[in-house]
Amino acid sequence: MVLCGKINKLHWSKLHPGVMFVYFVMTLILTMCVTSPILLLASFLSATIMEFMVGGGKRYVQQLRGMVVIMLMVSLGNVLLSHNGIHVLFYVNDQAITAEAFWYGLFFGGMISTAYLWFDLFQLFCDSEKLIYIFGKTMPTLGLLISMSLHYIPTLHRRLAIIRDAQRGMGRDENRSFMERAKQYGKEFSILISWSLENAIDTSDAMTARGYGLGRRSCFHTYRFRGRDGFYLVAMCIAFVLGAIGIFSFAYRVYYYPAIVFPKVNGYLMIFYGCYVVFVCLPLIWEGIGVFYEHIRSK
Amino acid sequence: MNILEVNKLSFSYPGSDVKALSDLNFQVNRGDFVLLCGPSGCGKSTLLRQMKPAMTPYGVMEGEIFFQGKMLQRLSAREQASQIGYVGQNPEDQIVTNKVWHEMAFGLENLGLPNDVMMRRIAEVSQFFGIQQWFDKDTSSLSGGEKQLLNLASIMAMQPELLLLDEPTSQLDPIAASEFLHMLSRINRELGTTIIICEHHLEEIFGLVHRVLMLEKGSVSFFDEPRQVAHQLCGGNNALYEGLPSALRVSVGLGDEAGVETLPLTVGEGRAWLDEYLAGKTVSGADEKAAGFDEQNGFHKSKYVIRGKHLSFGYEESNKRILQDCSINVKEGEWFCLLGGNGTGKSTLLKVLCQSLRHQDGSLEILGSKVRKEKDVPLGYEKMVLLPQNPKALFTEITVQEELEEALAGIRLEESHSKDLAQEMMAQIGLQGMEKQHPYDLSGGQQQMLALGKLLLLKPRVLLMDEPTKGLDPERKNALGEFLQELCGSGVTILMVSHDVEFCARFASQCGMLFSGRVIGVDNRRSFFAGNQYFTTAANRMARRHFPEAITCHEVVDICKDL
Repeated sequence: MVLCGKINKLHWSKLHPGVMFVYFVMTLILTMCVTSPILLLASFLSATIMEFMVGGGKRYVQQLRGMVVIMLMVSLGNVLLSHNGIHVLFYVNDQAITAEAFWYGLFFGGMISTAYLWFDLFQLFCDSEKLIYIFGKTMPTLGLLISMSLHYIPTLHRRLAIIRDAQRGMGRDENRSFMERAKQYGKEFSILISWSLENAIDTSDAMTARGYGLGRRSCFHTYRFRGRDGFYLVAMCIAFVLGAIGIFSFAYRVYYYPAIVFPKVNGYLMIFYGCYVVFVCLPLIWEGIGVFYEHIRSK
Repeated sequence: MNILEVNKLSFSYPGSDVKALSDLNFQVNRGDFVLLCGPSGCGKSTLLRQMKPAMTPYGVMEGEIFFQGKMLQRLSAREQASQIGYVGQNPEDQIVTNKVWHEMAFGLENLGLPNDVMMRRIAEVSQFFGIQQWFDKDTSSLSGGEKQLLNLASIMAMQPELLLLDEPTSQLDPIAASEFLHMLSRINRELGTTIIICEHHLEEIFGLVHRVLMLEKGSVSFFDEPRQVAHQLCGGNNALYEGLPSALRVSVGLGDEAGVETLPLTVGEGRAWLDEYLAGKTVSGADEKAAGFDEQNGFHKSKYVIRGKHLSFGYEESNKRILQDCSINVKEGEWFCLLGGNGTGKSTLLKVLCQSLRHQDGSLEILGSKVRKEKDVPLGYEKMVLLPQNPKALFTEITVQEELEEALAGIRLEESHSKDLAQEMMAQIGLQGMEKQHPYDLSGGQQQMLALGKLLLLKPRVLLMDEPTKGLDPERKNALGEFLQELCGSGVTILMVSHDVEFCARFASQCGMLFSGRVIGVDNRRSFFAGNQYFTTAANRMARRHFPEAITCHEVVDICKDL
């Protein structure tokens, strides 16, 4: 993939995959449970900057289009389905359309979009190798299963192309009518299945020959847990706990129904919200520190 | 000290009265490199699989096998997995995971080894095999040769004492095959691993192994040093003869009585041997005699069936053109062989001729009609057909009979008529009596014939073939060659791409080389091979100083006999 080059240059991608995985899980929790639009915006912006860094602007603009559509659809849907709220804008079929429902819909759409961005980043950063490591460590068979499917998919693709060419070589491409073509596709698919099943016997032979099923498997990897991973892990956990207090405790929540109520701003709120922002921006901060150190070292 | 001892071993498959192996007795010494050979169906693979209990097929076994002084059956599953390695025929299907490094770790993971031990073993093996460069690659992006080397490397990471290989090079091109065999020889020399390999192309391996175990009809006929075995084959009309190295075939064919020690195994030795043999004899008229071997077939027409001019093709993703200004002309009734190494674009050219890939430049005319669009290509009934490299790509039915009838589906024929045609074809391709068998139960050679038969029912005027000799044993290969020669004589034009120099030298009428995206040096087979210095048959390389025009072993032998 084109993106891999860019990703591998980032300091953040050099973190231990386990740490990275935990970070993504925590981020998703914090993003999906947030009530404050300001915090959501912070999460969204951080994800956006990361997307720009690894995926580039072109890719992001494409995604943004989809996200805008989602936001509009969700807010429209919410307005039509939820009639809660005290600020009535107008009535449709005797049903109240409220400002609160609109704002909540917009907020909710934004949350889905942000979560989508984080998921996208997750799959960009956690390539097959890291995924297999993360799952293989606890469930070796699942790790192997992922690896085998990733090998099998391109193999099936190639095989299907071979079958298609072979069928064409028999003159089976001239069939014009829809029914005949459907029948031909069915035939090609059935060849693919029997061919693959047949060859799967060899694969299973090769697996037994190499001792598959002897007992508990171990899981080979090339990752090492280093000091910086520990440092990141600690910082991440502290920020997560404080940030979580900020979004889960009733005192600091934002209420949308029946009227939009923001929490009172005080010192505690500033600390908790601040930690939330630090948490979602952690990869960027990490990147900044990395660049800074490199700069010092090069002098 | 012996590592393997086989005592009175017999084996028969369930429901069969015939013993696949009967009363085998032999011992393999530690550090030996043993070649297991014999005609098709002699029980080579069956024997090889007996030596690794996890791979042994169901059936009745008698006798005993000792591995390092211990009964093989008593070996724990763990010992068996790590100490006896097995590499099979098909490089692709033995690969389990998606990354090269993970593939090497697979066996070690199964043994439950800790991470740092695995790391070290993988590092060692990668160094030994020189595969550090593709350590991070996806396994699906490797070539066939690389895949098979990886299969070997991942077995070697488990540090086996005994390595069993079942025709490991049959699916590889000659260069990759040679590389693989030399790697085996290095493993044997440098690590002392005992190797038992099953092969039917003996050209290269015969000179590398220590001992040859020859099986015939399930029992050992010879077990000795290569030269001794070759000597025993002298004179006798043995099925194995065709597979022997060319140098041996010539010397054995001439009934060399000089002694076992001087029998040549390689081209170099063969040259020296021939010099000695011909010393004092006058060599004259050999070229005329060689030319006399060329049969004239009646179909020498000047009509072109394939005319490609300045064809070029390259994939969009890469800047490199695979075909560049490639021109190819094939006349009616010719058997045209296009030779060339891996990745020279042989298969691509076939795809362009079938228009499953569209050429980007140049013009193409097939069977007299210009090809302007993909749909213009005359493929199918009474036109042109393509035999794919893997016959499985054509099989859709559950019996041989139905498989053949399927070829005629969509062509309006009476049902009884198509049944007759199928029956007739079965006899032609040597599959009579097998109509009820499943195509997948046939041997590789029979599958190839079935696929060919299926295409021939379409009465093609042009037959395109992609590596038809891949994975065939010498006997099957000759049968295929003779079958195709007859077909060609009846007016079917054949265009085949191949790595197989020996096959083309023996059967083709025209030969050409594909290099750098172009077809080069097109000539009749004799001038083509006699004109090449490197890209020619082993027999020609060996004898060219004396008879430059002789290109097959048979020709060299015949000329020598007449002197």
